[in-house]
Amino acid sequence: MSHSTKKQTPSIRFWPALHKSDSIGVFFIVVLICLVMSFITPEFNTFVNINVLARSVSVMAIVALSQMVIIGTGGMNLSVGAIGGLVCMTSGSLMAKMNVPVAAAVTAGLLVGALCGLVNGWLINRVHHFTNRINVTSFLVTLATASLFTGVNLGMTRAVPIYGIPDSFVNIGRITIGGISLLLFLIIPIVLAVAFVLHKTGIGRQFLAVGGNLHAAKLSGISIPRVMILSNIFSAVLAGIAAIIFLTRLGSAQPSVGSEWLLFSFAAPLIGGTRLDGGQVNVFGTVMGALLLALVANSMVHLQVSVYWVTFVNGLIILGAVGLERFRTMGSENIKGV
Amino acid sequence: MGSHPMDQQSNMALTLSNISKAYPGVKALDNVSLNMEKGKVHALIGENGAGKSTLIKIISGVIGYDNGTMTVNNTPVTFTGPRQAFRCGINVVHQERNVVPTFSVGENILLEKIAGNSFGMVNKDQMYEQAREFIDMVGLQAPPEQKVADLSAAEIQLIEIAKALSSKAHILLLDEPTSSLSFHEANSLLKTIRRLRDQGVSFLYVSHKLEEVFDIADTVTVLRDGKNVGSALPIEKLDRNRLVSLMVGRTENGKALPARVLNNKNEVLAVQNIKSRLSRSSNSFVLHKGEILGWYGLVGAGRTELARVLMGYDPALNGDIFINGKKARITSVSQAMTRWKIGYLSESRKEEGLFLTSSIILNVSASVWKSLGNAFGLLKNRDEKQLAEKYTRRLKIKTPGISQIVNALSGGNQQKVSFAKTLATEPDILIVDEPTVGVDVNTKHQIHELIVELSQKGVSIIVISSDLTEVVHLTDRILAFRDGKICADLKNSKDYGAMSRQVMEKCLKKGGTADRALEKNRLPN
Amino acid sequence: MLANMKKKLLAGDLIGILIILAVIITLLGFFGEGFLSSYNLENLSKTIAVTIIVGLSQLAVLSIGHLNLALGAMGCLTGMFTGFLLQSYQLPLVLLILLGLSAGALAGFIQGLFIVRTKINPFIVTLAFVSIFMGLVTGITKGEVFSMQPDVFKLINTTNVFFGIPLLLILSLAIAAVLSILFFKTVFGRQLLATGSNLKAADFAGINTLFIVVCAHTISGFLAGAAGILQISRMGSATPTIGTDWLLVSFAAPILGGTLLSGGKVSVLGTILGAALMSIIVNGLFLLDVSQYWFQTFIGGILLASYGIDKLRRVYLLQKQS
Repeated sequence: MSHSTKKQTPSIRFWPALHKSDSIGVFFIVVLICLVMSFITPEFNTFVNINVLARSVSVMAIVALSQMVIIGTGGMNLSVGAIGGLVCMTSGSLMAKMNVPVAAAVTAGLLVGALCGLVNGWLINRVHHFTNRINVTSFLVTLATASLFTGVNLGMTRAVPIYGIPDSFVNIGRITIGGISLLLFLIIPIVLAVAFVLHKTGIGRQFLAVGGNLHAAKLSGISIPRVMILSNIFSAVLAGIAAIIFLTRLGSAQPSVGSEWLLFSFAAPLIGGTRLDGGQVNVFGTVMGALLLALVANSMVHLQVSVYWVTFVNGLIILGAVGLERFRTMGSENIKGV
Repeated sequence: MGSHPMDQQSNMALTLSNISKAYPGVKALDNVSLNMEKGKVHALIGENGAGKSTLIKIISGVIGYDNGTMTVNNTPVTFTGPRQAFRCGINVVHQERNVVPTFSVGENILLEKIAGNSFGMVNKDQMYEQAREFIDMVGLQAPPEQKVADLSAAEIQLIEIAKALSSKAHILLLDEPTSSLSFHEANSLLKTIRRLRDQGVSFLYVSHKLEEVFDIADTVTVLRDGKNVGSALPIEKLDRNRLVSLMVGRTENGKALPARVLNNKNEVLAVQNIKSRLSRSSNSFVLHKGEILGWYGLVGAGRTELARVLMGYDPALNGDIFINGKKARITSVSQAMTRWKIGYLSESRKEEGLFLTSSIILNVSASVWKSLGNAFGLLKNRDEKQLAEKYTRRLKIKTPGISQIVNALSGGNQQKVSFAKTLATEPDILIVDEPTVGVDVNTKHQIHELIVELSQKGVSIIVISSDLTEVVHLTDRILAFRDGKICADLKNSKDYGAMSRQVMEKCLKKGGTADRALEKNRLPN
Repeated sequence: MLANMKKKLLAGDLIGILIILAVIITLLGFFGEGFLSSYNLENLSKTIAVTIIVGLSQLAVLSIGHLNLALGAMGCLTGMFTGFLLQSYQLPLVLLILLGLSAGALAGFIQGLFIVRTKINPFIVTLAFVSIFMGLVTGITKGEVFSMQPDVFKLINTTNVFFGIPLLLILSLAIAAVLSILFFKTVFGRQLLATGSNLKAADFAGINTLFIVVCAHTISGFLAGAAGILQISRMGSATPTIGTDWLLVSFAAPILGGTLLSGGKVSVLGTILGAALMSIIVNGLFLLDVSQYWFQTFIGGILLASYGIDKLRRVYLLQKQS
């Protein structure tokens, strides 16, 4: 805005002003909740509670990033949870039942995740028809593959949880540094890596270019099929990493892992200023969004609100977040796009 | 061409010889030639529908052509897609923006580079440094870090030019580049073009604005009805009158209807100072019973916006509308249709007029379902079919049957279906927006006949058209629009030569009050 | 009469699904032990009954080019509410059911109104409403199960009419018939399809498209509620798990039946056949001793196959046109 005032003849804006990334606003809300909660309930500020929070945030943030990558390309991934579940069970059973070394089991699990992403990307390219938009295609495909992957998961494991995860692996989740769970520190390099890929590498920029304007991206020579495949693999691997972290946290592999990831995977990026239409992501904001959701859930427990209402509030938060964005961009739409 | 073909040829950036292109039912281009010299600005002008956009599409590889030859830098070429034209150094700066709104200026300019770099890193500082060169080249006043979404249409236009230059384009096609720019912005764009031309870039400049053409062009090619009426004419040898008459010409097809004297002076519609959310200025006019009123203006002159106020799609913010002397507050489309008996034929039948994947039956009856249904809202298929049959016969729609899906019909027949949909409401006031765009000559005749027939039955009709021949031949009176404002109310003498010049002058006039009003209007944005 | 019907089926793309159905039924008749037993057929047709209504609930919003992820939650909300009413109040059955259904319709109405008012992407809105409705249900009931049902209500599940066809299936087909009339015989239905086919053109035809969008979601909620009530009568109790597995079949049934996802074209008969196909395949897998855990894989696979068919059909249509 400041830049237009200095010009002599301000003119009609072509794009409705996309709102500025508002992760700072989310950050302040997060701080506010923390302050209020520590006054109201003494247990809130204890190491125990902080670690409870840290653990859930670490998983949620990475799941949210996994979804954010795909939203950035202008699509959606309904199979994040299914992929997470499959990876969790694969790594879990390799470690616990076949005595595969931890590192190898984790790698194998992530490879399975990558394969799921490849399947998603490949199918999107196959099913896509130019009369459809990319988000419709990705919705349909991942709706089906979510069922496919969950089916494979349940079929292989017969829905039986796997116990006896090696201590060497579970202990990772118990390590604390200065009283704070290692897991929280573990996600820092992952968050940085996602930010690096999306902002600093050619392929990451291609993801966002496709999300921002598919037509322009195509004209510039960006290969849409390649972007679809690689972005889906990237997203699936992130979902896999989230599942592995969940595994260390839980100490057992549950087939139901991931079944409740869908809502917050969309909520956290949207709260953090990622555009649903694609083309713009906010990594820090997404992490803040995940933190906010985790905090609200945690606070409600402390305030002795029934756990059943947490879902309800989550729904309201996502509507509020998207509604706010909508409200912010409303003013600029009175000017007719040329 | 001249007497030294060899000399000229070596200087040619792009030549098209005897290019023809036919669509089913329409010959879009007929033996068109175009010769662009290197380092020159070549203007391509012609009325709407003269074939300019088809020609641009051919040059940029979007569509093919039936016969003729094309060379780039004296090498014969055939394009199978836009990427190929791109590689030959041809780049189109389209009216629809091909930028990524969420990216920075620098990244948009060097998007090609990102596309070619899948597995490397993007060094933004280095990129912005490179982009700065092109930003300076086009004279863009924005840093490379700036996000494109925050820029104005003019700045985005410059980005597109910079983008083209960065991909080593040496032939740039500018399609109506100043249509969405303010006066100052347009001027600075022309300056940029001149500077780049002097550096050896060749431009094909498509514009309606003759002042600009005289300002910038070295040579001019004029198209009319898909044919060359002037090829590579040097600008020094032309004057404004000559250019206007070349553009409007007298076309063989279609004769003017005899001028009518309307006895009925009843004002069916009187509009006083209305303005809507989308229109730029307020306007007043009257429409008489049984009159055909033409609204002429260049694309984007604000005619459709005004029509939509009357249609209830974009209700008026202030001003008064009187229908048959009664003050009317038109608040919704359905109210305009049923209470005020106003019918509207949209300018884009595919986007706003038709249900393309549905049958003729559904399309024709769509506006009158409410009156076809009984008290319980139940419809009889038979009633709908009868209605569709009636209009299929009346408008001579060529179709295997009324159950035919509209998408499978030809453009002309689609337009007739769109007409039928509007007529089914039996309007007293009919507004037809570009009624004959993209239809064949035959259908055009039929549509004109239909409009006259309706007016004889007492329907008052507003014909919005960018086809001057059509407006002069068909209407009783002409309102000329310019920059959102009615700038002239002319009785139509049906003398094509005189009328067309008069109307064109009004619409093209520069620096008038309308222009100043426009500048003022844009400030608050 | 018969020739006419055949032509209709061909034109409506239903011949494919009919052949698949015929083949699968024949195969199951031979190889699926107990497939043709009256017990299995009765159970199967009850499952089909619920699936049809679930598919139609999605169909209602597909007709305008939207989708409804919250239909399972709406079904659950209605089912639980009706279960609670049945257990707690001694009122006439019809009144109780109507009260229950109005909860579903209200849920859909709120959702539709929200979409129209805020103009937020329907996908996100319905996703959020999943949580809101489920949150409401679990928050209010705290996971309670309502299993006391009056005897009259139980009759809905146990009654068989003509040749042992379950009343449940008759009810569901009756709802489908009403919906079919609504879509194809009324002004309102035309307006729904027109809105889905081309929103702008519908606007210009004087159709109040905002109203139509709200109505489509209301109908979707109403039908999801109806499915919820049929489900509690089948199970004999209302539990919060109702509707958790509806989402996939709700898309699969219409798509298999030839409804395009881009809006404007719907097939009620196709949805019925699609619902039947899904249910029969699941039933067949069960009879063929395929582990239940693999079912989801098959369902996902069928859905993917239907996209393939849909794409082929589009490409074919496009070639035919040019």
